[in-house]
Amino acid sequence: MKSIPFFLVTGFLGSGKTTLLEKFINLYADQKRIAVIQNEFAPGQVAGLELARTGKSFEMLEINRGSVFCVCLISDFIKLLHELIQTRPVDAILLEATGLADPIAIGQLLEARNLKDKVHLAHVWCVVDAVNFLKLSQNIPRMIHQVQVADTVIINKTDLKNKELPAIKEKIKALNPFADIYESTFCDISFKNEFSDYEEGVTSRDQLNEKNMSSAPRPALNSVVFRHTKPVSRKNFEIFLHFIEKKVYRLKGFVKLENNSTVAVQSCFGTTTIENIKNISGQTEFIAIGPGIDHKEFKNLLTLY
Amino acid sequence: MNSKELVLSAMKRLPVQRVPWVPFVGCHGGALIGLKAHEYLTNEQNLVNGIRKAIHRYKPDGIPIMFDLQIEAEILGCELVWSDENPPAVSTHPLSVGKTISELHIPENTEGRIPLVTNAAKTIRGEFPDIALYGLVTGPFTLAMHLAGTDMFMKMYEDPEYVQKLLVFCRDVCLSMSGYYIDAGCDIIAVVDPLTSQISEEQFRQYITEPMQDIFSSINKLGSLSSFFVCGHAQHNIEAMAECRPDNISIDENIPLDFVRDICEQKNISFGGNMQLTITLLLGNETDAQHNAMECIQTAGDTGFILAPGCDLPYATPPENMEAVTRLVRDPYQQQVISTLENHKSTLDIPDMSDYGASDKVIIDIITLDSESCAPCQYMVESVKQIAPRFKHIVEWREHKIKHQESIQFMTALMVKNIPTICIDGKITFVSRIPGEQELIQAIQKRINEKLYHKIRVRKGSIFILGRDNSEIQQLKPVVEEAIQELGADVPVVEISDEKEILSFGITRTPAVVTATYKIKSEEKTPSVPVTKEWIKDLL
Repeated sequence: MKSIPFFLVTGFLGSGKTTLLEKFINLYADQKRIAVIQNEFAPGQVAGLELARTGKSFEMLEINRGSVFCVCLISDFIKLLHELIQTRPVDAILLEATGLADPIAIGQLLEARNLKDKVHLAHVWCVVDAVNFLKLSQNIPRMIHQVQVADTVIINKTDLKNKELPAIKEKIKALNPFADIYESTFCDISFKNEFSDYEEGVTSRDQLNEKNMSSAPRPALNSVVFRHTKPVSRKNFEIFLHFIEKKVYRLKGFVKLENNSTVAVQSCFGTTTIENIKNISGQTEFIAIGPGIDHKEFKNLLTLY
Repeated sequence: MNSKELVLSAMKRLPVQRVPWVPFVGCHGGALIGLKAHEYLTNEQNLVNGIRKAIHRYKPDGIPIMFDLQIEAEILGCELVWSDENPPAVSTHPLSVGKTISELHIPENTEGRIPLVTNAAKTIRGEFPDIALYGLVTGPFTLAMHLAGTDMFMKMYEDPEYVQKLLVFCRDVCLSMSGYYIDAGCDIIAVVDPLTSQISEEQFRQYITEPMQDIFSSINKLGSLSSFFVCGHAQHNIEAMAECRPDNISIDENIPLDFVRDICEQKNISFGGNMQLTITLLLGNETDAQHNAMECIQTAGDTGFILAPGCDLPYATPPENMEAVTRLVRDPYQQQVISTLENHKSTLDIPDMSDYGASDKVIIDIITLDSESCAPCQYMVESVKQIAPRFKHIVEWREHKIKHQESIQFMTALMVKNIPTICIDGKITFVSRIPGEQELIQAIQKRINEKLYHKIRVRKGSIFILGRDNSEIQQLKPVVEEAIQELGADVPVVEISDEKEILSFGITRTPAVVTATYKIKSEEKTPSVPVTKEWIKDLL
């Protein structure tokens, strides 16, 4: 069975996550079977109703709607997701996380035994509210963290706060040098054809490797969301880079090195870019996608020496 | 020192014989007795049964009565949404739909699910006087969020006075709840405030420090100890948390344990945590759980530390993973094994063992921590020692103490994961289990037979020297051996002096020499008669 892409939408309360979901559904729901999971830390059914307004057909699921704020409370999610992929044919799963959710913790749940080869974390969007990002992010660390983990950051409501825009962009770039950044009103962005881009990428990589590939079938695509609080030695970092270029299709995140510096790493089909990150002493955190990759493998590589 | 004393001593940073273990069994208790979270968290008898089961299986030093941060909110008018495998979630916030702070009341001990929890606490207290009981109360900031919803975040900028007033109310709820749980027999009050991880240190000091200081000093006045539970990325607030003066801080995997250790040491308070909930306890296996526990124990050091999961255990946590932690905590040998392996992992050069066990003799390797200091290792070595003489010249045994680098290399090469283990010719045969005498003999015999069979398969031929007494044999032997040596051949010499066997070769006069060659003609199938006839012709 082909591994199903899992798309994660993060962003602080009221930033416009549901609007982004609505755009996504409008664009894709006619061609793809989409399942939407909502888990908003806000009153009741409002968000669900907004999506229903699109008039498109998609599966709608709820996890413990209400105040879900830490990983220990979302193990229901594994069960729900497993039931979903067992009982319904879906091409993509879209999760609107709570404004306070830890995206890394959510990604880790996809590594559950019964999900690992069936679903992979394909893309993370973070919606940033131009109106209050600079003010709130000083006091709400999760807003910073969500920007750091994103593949794409959408600065929303730019019509309402034009003057702060350069400063917001600068801050986001400093936090996450590899993210695509869009400015928008009502999350009006052009999607980059998330499905085919990804599928083509995987196929071309395989063609390149065809001569070297053994006859064994490629293991199913999966994602690993990795978090490690101890600093990584330079030697381990080099081993890690060597490994990801060979085996990992895509990787994005941060590595905390022994000299107390943090680097941003992005690897895409064998091309790896590293950038030093200033003024942030975050921990090692990254999301990797590849065939048959394993959490323990990363831990061993990063702690070997 | 019983379990309770162990926990209380660690809480006060006093010396302990071993690290205390406090599994945070919340709705997971329901899973242990086959009930859904809702059935478990709303019924006194179910709750008691789940805790009993957890105590029976996990042999904890301390345990919470209930892990549900919605008990207070439910009484104060928040609607709850229940699910099968999680504590309930709050779905409505009374203060965001028109209710005022002054309309809220401090819950009585007869309201909502409070009697359920306090009665369960009394029952468990009576049955298990030697275990430390944790009463968990919802922290003021998390309760305030339940009551006011996410408007709180904006209100912290726009209306600080309102937020402060609300937090004073929530503090008073905390104080009352703490009193109820202490009266019911709880030894430790844990103020669980995960949402404080979502605010900056500055806002923490502005809003949280004062009410929390009041709560912790009141708990101490009531004769109990206190813990400040937080989960999530709260590293930036640890120092401020410590300054609230709880007796203990408990954190999850998002915060490096050594960071918390150092701050707690400075502030002279204890700390606990931070086993990985998802990757290890929920999704990992027993070995992962033990390694993670050992990592925590080693990082934490032996003063003022309580080993615990980072937060409420996920409902579906495999009980085997928890039991593996219990074994580790209670068994110093196992701790030594895991820590020795962890420390040596980095410099391993793994030898290629693919030809191991190909020699004539059967090699028994016993991988131990050290048979002189580890009782199970000692028994395992003894069992082999006793049997080995029966297979004189055939079986050789040796002990590999993993205190030595080369033994770890050897162990890794053989893919041995548990200590002690017996490998026969490189094959893992008995794991963490002392084999019975017959069992061991059979295992060795089986290997001898395999080897013999293998030898016959590859053997091209043998040379037999036949003599009716030793002098006849000795007369032939040097000649045959010299010939073999000169040819560099690998031909076994078989000495035969038994009269019947000599006669079976059709020999009447000795000394005599017979050579024989072997060829495998058919294996695992019955050949046809014409084919077999061709083979026989070769012999004529």
